[in-house]
Parts: sequence; structure tokens; C-alpha cells
Amino acid sequence: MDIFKKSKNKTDNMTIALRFKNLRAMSRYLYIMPAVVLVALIVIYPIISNIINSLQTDKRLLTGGAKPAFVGFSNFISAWNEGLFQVSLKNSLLFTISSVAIAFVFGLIISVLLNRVKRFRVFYRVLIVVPWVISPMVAALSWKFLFNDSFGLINYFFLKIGLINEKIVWLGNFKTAFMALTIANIWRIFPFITIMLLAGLQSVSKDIEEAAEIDGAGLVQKYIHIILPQMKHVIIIVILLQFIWNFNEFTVIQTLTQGGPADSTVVLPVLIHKLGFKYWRAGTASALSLILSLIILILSSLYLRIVGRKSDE
Amino acid sequence: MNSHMNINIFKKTVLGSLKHIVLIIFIIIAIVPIAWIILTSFKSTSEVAVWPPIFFPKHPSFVAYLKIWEYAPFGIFLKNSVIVSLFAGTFTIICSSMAAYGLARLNLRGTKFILSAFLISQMFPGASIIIPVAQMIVKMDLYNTLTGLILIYTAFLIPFSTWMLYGYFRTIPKELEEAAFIDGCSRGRSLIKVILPLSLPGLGATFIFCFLGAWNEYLFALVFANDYTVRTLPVGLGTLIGQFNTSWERLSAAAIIFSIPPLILFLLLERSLVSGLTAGAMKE
Repeated sequence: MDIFKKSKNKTDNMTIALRFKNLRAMSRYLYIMPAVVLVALIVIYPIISNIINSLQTDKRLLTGGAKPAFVGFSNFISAWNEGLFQVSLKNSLLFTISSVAIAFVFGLIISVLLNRVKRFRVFYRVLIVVPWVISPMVAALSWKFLFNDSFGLINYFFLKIGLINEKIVWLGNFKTAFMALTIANIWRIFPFITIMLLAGLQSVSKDIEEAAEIDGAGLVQKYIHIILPQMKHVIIIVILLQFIWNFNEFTVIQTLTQGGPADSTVVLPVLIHKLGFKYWRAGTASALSLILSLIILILSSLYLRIVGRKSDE
Repeated sequence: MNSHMNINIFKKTVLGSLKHIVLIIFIIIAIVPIAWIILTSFKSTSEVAVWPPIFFPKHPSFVAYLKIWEYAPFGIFLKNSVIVSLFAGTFTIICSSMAAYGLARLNLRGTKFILSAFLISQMFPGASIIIPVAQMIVKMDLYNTLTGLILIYTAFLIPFSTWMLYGYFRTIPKELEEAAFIDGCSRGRSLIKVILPLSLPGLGATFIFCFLGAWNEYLFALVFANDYTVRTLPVGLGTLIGQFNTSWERLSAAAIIFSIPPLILFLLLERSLVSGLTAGAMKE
């Protein structure tokens, strides 16, 4: 009897101890709970909700309204038939590729030069990042100002050097709006590329540089064949990051052209905002959101693989 | 021999100054748009929006800086921006320092998955989630409130700041914490008493990054803060740009004031911001 009682007590104590240990183990997860819940709230929930939305009739987003009905893929089909999808994807790709490609060339030239000058280097580096440091909204404001047709500096300057004969309505003409937008965007992103590439150049070991010089390689050859391959990773990461960020750009385009004139500058994020909150077509907007999410998911998985491989090395 | 040397010296000086010339051209390109706003903000109304453009104001004045406070509810926008950015930054730091500690030190199951998921979700554009998040905000009765913006910004900023802090926490030697455990410190106390004080520079950089993220955000603020009483500065500026009879010198003054916090914060931690951003790419 006594023994029995004792042993029962012992198992009790053990289960309590075990439970306590489990509880303690569980409690460690409390540290990550708030962050995980919040991120799930704005990533997992929206993806599921986008899928549901995209298969239903449009609902009033901010004011509530009639209950939506299931319509299958008709939102996707109408987005395709109206050409919304093709136009915005084409613009997004063109905007992103031309911005990143040109800004990359600028960034490469500047970073190589910065790496080779000794005097004023800090001075140059601090000034060159200004476009990147100021808010996108202020960048947009200043370019709206510069491109203004009746008193903008761009018209003044181009007329002065004889590049144009009359004032051009840069942002209001469907022939020039896209180019103007891309120029403003290149201005905004080239400093970041410069800084990243400069960091990459500085991490290339001096021995390799000197060895190349002894071999008598010319300056351009030296960069193309020896130094740039050394910074392959930095280059890939910069381009991928910039591609994703520019594909997502909203502020500058919305402020400068709002996707106009005649949809000539409409990119996916601007179109989603317009469909969702101007035309109240939540279904179509959700369908396009899903496509945008898918593109970004593919690109960022690529990024993740490259970064992951690098840190495993 | 002599002429050969001369050519070499010639080549060296010309190429040397060419480098500086090209760099200065790019610097001018980088600076002019902002310099133009600064100059405009000191002009009088008769000197802006004229043809040909007047470059330097005859009598530089601060009138535009004084007038913006009555011209539009600029004070309200500024106050809203400060509140939203401070709170979003603070909440983000709290949530993500806990999460980063858990991921860096507690050997949790799924650590790798969560880190990857955070990295990917950090790439997701606001536009791809704006429709469902708008529905959610309305359902939660947070439409047209600063609370709604703070909530969304916090959630949006957590992935990146968790990654940044995760990097900092991992550089702190485990032995320091073990010493604290022997002294009877709990995990939570060790986080507050050992880890956080040791990563103050990292916390500062992360906070500034979050602050600026919230300060500059446009899409969510544009959609959720419709009423002018809850508008943040980017939305306020955006509305003014769109107006037909915009007063450019006042708009410029407002943009300058709006740019001051980012510029100061950037100069404060230029070094660590750049190294933090490049750390992932440059990891050896």
C-alpha cells in the first residue's frame, strides 16, 4: 500500500516534470510568435484571400456591398481579353529591364572610377547617394518639376543646346512619357548599384589585381576577364534585387504619370491600385495581384538560392 | 626617351583628371534635381513657374517655409508621419528582436524555413497584397486610422529587421550568455540584460531603417488614410503635386522638411547602413 502510493506519487511527479519541460520547450516558441503571426497576416492570408477574390464577382472594397458570387476564371479571362494583363506586364518588364540595365552600366563606371581615385573619394561617395537617400516621393516631385512642359529645366536645357525645337510635354505625351519615367527611375536607383558594386570591388583581393597588372593586361581587359568574374555574386545579387524592387515600383510612377497617358506607362502595381480602388474591380485586381505574386515568388526563390549557396560555401 | 616619359606623364595626368571629370558629371546629375527643389523653396512666388527659369532667387526668403503651415494641413501630415513612423519602428524592433533571438539562439524547429519565408515575404510588393489587406483593415474597423497604418507597417517591416537583428545576435559569443545562465538568469532576462545592450548599434541601425521605411511608404497610406486628418506626408505631398494651381515654392519647402529626417539619419549611420545592406551579398 505504502509502496504503491509512493510509486504513484513518483509517476505523478514525473508527468508533471515532463509536462513542465514540454511547456518550457513550447514557451521558447513564444519568442517568434508575434513576428510569425503578423507576417502570416500580411503574406499567407492575402494570398489565400486573393485566390478567393479572383474567382468571385467584384465587391466593394472599402464600403461593403452585395455578397460576391463565384465566377470561375472569368476575371482572369477578362483581364486577358481587355489586354490589361499584356499591357501592364509588357510595361513592367520594359520599365524594369531598361532601368536596371542602364543604371547598372552607370553604377559600374562610377564604382570603378571611385575605386581608382584617392582624392575626394569620401566626398564623391556621400554626394552620389543623395538620390537613393531621399524619399521616392521627393524624387518624383523633383522630376515632375524638371519635366514640366511650360517652365521645366529639361525643356530649357534641351532648347538651349538645340536638341529640340519646341517645348515638349514630356509626361503628358504617350511617345515620351515612358522614357521620361525611366530616366527619373534610373536617376533614383543608380546610387545603390554604385555603392554595392564599390563594396564588391573593394573585396576583390589586391594580389589578383597586381598579378593581372604584371601580366601586362590592359585596363579594360583586366576588368572584364579578371576583376568582374571575381565579383560575379555581388553582380548577380544586385541585378536580381534591383529587378524585384523595380518590378514592384509604385510611388514614382503613380506620382509622375498615374499610368497614363493612354495606359502607356501602366505597370502591374499601378494597374492593381487603379482597378481595385478607382474602378472597384476587386476581382480583376486580385487576379493580377496573384500573377504579380507569382512572378516575385519565382524571382525571390532564385535570389534565396543564390544567397543560400553563397553562405554555404 | 625624354619624349616617351613626357607622353607617360601626359597620359597619367589626363587620365587622372578625366576620372574626376566623369565623376563630377555624375555628381552633378545626382545633385541637380534636389538642388533645384532647394533653390525653389527659397524663391518668391513671382520667381517660380516662369520662362525662362530663374536659377537663383534674387532675395532668398523663408516665406515658403512659414506659409506651408497655413497653406495645407501640413502640420497634421507631419505629426501623423512622426507618430506612425515612431510607433511602427518601435513595435517592429520589439517583435523582431524577440524573433531574431528565438531564431538565433533557441534551436527552434523550422528556423531555416522561417528565415527563408521571411526573406521571400520581404520581397513581396505592397501592391500584391493591397486588396486583401484593405478588406482586412475595413473588417477590423481600422480604415482611416493611424493604428491601421502602424499595424500594417509593423508587419511589413518585421521580415527585414528580423534578418538584420538575427545577423547581429549571431555575432555575440554564446559564452557571454552562458555566464548569465549560471548566475540564474532566465532566457528573457538574458535577452534584455545581455544580448540587447551588446547589440545597441545594430538595434539603432535597424530602428532607423524601419523608421525610414514607414516614413517613405506611399501605397498603403494612400489607400487607408483617405481622410486628411490621418494623411501622412507622402500622401499629403502627392495630393498637392496633383493639384492644378500648385504653389511650387511651398511644395518644395514641404519636400525639404520631409527630407530632413532621412538625411540626418542617413548621415548618422552611413557606414553601418551600407555594410548592413551589403553584408548578405558579401558574406565570405
